[in-house]
Amino acid sequence: MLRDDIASLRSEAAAALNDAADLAQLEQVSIKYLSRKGLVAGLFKQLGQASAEERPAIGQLLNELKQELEAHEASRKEALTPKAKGPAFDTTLPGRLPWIGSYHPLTIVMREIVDIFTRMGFRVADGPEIELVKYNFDMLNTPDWHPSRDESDTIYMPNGFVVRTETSPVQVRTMEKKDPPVRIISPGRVYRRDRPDATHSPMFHQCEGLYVDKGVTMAELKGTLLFFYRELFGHDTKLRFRPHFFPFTEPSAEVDVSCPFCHGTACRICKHTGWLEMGGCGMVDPNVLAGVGYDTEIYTGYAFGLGIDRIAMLRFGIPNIRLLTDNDVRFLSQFSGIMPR
Amino acid sequence: MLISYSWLSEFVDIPVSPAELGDVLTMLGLEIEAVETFAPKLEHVVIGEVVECAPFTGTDHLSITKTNVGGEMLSIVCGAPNVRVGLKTAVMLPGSVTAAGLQIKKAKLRGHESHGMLASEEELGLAHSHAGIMELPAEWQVGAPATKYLNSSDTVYDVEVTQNRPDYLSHIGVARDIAAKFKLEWKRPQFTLVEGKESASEYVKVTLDAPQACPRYLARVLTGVKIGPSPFAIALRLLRCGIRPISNIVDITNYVMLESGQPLHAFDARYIGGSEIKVRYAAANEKFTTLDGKEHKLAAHDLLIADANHGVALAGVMGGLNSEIREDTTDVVLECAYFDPVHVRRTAKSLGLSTDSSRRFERGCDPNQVPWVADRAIAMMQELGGGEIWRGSVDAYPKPVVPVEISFRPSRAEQIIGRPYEPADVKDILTRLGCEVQADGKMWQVKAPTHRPDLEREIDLIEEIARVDGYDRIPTEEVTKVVLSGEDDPAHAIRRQVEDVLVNAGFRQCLSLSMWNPEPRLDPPGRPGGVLVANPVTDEMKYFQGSVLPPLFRAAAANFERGDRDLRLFETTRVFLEGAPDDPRTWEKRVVAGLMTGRRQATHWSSGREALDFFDLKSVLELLATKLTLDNCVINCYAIDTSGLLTGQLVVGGESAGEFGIWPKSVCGPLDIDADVLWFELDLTVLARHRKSKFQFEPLPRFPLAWRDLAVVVDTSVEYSALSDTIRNAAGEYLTSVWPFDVFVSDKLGVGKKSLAIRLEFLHPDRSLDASEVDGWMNSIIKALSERHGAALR
Repeated sequence: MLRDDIASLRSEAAAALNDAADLAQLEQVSIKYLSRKGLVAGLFKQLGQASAEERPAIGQLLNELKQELEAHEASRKEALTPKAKGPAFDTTLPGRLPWIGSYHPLTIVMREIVDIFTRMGFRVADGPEIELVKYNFDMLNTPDWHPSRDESDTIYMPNGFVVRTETSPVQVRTMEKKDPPVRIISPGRVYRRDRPDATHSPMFHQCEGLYVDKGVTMAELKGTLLFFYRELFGHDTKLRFRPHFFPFTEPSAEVDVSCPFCHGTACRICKHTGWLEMGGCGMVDPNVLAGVGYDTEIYTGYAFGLGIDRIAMLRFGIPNIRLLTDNDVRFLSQFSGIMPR
Repeated sequence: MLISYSWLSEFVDIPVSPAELGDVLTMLGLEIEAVETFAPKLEHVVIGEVVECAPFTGTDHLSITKTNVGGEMLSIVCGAPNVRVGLKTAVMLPGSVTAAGLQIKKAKLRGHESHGMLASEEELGLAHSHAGIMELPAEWQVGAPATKYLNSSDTVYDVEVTQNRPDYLSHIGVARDIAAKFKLEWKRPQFTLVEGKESASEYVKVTLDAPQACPRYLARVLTGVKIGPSPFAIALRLLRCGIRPISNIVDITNYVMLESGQPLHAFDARYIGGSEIKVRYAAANEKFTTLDGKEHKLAAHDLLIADANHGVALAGVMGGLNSEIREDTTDVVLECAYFDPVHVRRTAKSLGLSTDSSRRFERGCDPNQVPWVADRAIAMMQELGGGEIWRGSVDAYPKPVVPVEISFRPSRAEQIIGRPYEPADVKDILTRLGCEVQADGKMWQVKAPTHRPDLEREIDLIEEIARVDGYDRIPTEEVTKVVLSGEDDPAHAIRRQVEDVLVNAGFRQCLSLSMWNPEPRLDPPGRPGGVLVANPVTDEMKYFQGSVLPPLFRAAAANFERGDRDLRLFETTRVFLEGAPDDPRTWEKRVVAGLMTGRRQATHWSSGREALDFFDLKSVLELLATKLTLDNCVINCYAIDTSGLLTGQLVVGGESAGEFGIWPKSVCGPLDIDADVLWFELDLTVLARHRKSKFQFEPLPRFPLAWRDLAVVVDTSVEYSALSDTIRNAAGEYLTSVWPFDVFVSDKLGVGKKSLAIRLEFLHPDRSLDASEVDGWMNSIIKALSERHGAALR
């Protein structure tokens, strides 16, 4: 009986497909059962022997058998085919990047500094790099004899203009234009007549700050700078004011911060003192305030300054200040992944 | 200034260790540059006497000595220049160790056995000295262990003294502050002055020709003195404080200066002609030889100490060679004076002579300390060298300097510092510093001591209170106030944004020195040089840059040389040009400049290697225009010359905002860049002026837009901008966008022809557009293009 033959072939072929251990055996099984001269085809040929009534049903049965075995064979084939090692293209080649730009390390540090102060309500003020002696020295209470005025220390233009030695002239210009409260920072380039070497450059960058208002005190200056340096160097940073002398401020102090590298335990960077000298500060000298027409009985103020280049060099471990102005892309490209915070 | 712990201890009982004192000094305002501890190693060191000394034949500087070390004669080889028969010195016997850690052993030196070493202060760890072996007093006992005489330890601080503190250039001055800090008493050194009968005024006369330059001149006289070496303890102290001992009289002037801060000068009285001292200005071009043997040509503002005939000292700076103390000097005129700081500073600076004396006078010595210092010095001189002190002093002090009186409100200290100070503490601090304080009520009267010329105002006293009480005791007040006043500088924002745009466009930010010197061999053509500096740092920095492109170009060449040839560099900086003679603000412009060279696309295995061209440059300008929302931005190109040189101008809001261009390979090659260089330099202030200030969201279109593509063939001389203008004019109000999407030139189009494919988009705000009306506009456009430009449809 054809029906029985179909049933036995189904179980026999299924077993053979399952038993095929590799693609070659599967191929043999496939030829034996499913090829044009195979056993399934053989059963189709016997279809003519079936009675007319049964033929459609058996025909359908045979078709089902064929489809079933073909599907079974396909699934066995997939199972036996060695797994592909990956897609046909090499995904390990690098991706298609655009040109990569980078911020100068000084910009990175400068922006961070400016942003910390603007969070405390300081405004950014600016002024010319070539200045009047009046703003760079006279109105900052610099005595006539002060060495900073010497031509050996400071760059002058033939007409008597001075190249600013600090960004403080911006403070005077701002105070001249505006009544208190004045709360500004002035970041920018400054110049001294230093011959360039590993640690000196005739051009460097400062950020100075000024706050003049009613009731401004040195305690507040301490708080402001502590907040600033903690934001910059980490929240365990300690601050030390050391008495010093600057014509522009009275009382004056040098600001030391606990070394952010060794946390004050002494290392090579802080010359084993545990402290790093950051810049000067103090209470604005009454002569300066009076010079811009402020009433020194009503208003007091503080001022501070810090050097950006040194902070950038410390932060990134840059040993030579000339690297900052060499514009060597081997240096610049190292900052591709450093974005201002 | 070198400050000795043991010397300070003579004036105040320091309650802390040398290490702790360093911190105290720091917090008093003396910045410590270095600390050195001297602890001599004296084991197996004895006092010896050189009894024989002969040159070591075959060597150029060694001597062979027989040295008596008490009961034993040792043969010792010595290389010091001052070794001689009769010299008492320290002998390091085998088994001793030098300060540097060198073991002394019996050793053969060029075949000669040496049984130890004759030692210098340096080797024993007593002091720094490079003058040879020690010269010890003749009366010291040969063979005695060195510990009997030389056991002298000390700590010396190298401190930086700020410009305002003359008193800190003395041990007494530092001791006074230490005493104030610890609320202790300090004491002046004690001495006994034994004067003779004869009055000094009979010996020497003093005339002040220039009392402004020399407000006080005091002379004392000592005759019959014997010049010799100073006692060991004094010599050692001087050495440790950085001064080479010379002879008792000269050493005392230095010793008392380090003690009191008052410079002194001793003249050999034989060379004070006419027994007269005249303090006068030099004649212009007057010649004078200082005791270092250098001849100076003086100016009329230089102050001289002169006798009846000629100068004998440069006032407050250095003595003269003609009148210095010699070995055979017997009579001494001692000068103790107060010179005006400005005069001393000017002379010291113009002659390039910075001395221990000038540095003190420049800051301002205490004119009222003069008599005490003179007495102290002359008494010590007599103690060491004998002789007779003439009675009294010759003191020219026509206008005594009186202490400054300051009105002082104790309450003001709190307003400045931010914490209250007890009036009793305030009074105590000021008194200890030497002020006379009348503390009545709210307004005190304070007389500042003349040794503190920096104390002139109330604020100066407030600083003293905060300083002595301790800056570390100033509270840290949290920032709680935020003052919302004022505006940021307008250049600040645009500078940041330009940096952001360019960094995101793949540019690397550079930083160049603003000073340079043009050099045709290195620099691209046509950039302004800038403004000349009066006193340039170096010849390479003669100008403040007129453009930042030359420095960037040089940097590019250096990178090119190293093999980095795909460069996109930029800098935001300032450039300089001569402006109004009274307003430096007109002398500078804030700019952004950039240059590009090399390939269009970043290195990639799949990418082409096309070189950059004009449209890469233009894209940067267009990117800036888009990102900065520049108003009415026109990129104006001047004709390109056959070499490929191109220059153009960016016009924003009708104003020139700077230039851009291409320096072709033919220009750059000789300047060490073998490629085209694309560049731009734009004025940030102009860009900032023409930004669209307001942004408002526009409603999205409610109806679909209609688009048409148009391909036309025109002469190659017809510019796209002319076509797009014509299209816009002909299209009517609903054309919203014109965009070229294909351009090609081919002989198939006809010689000298090009094809442009352009997409047009139309949109009506209130309704859908009909195909037929768009076709109508297209017909008008095609007609206009044909009429105006001879354009044919493809």
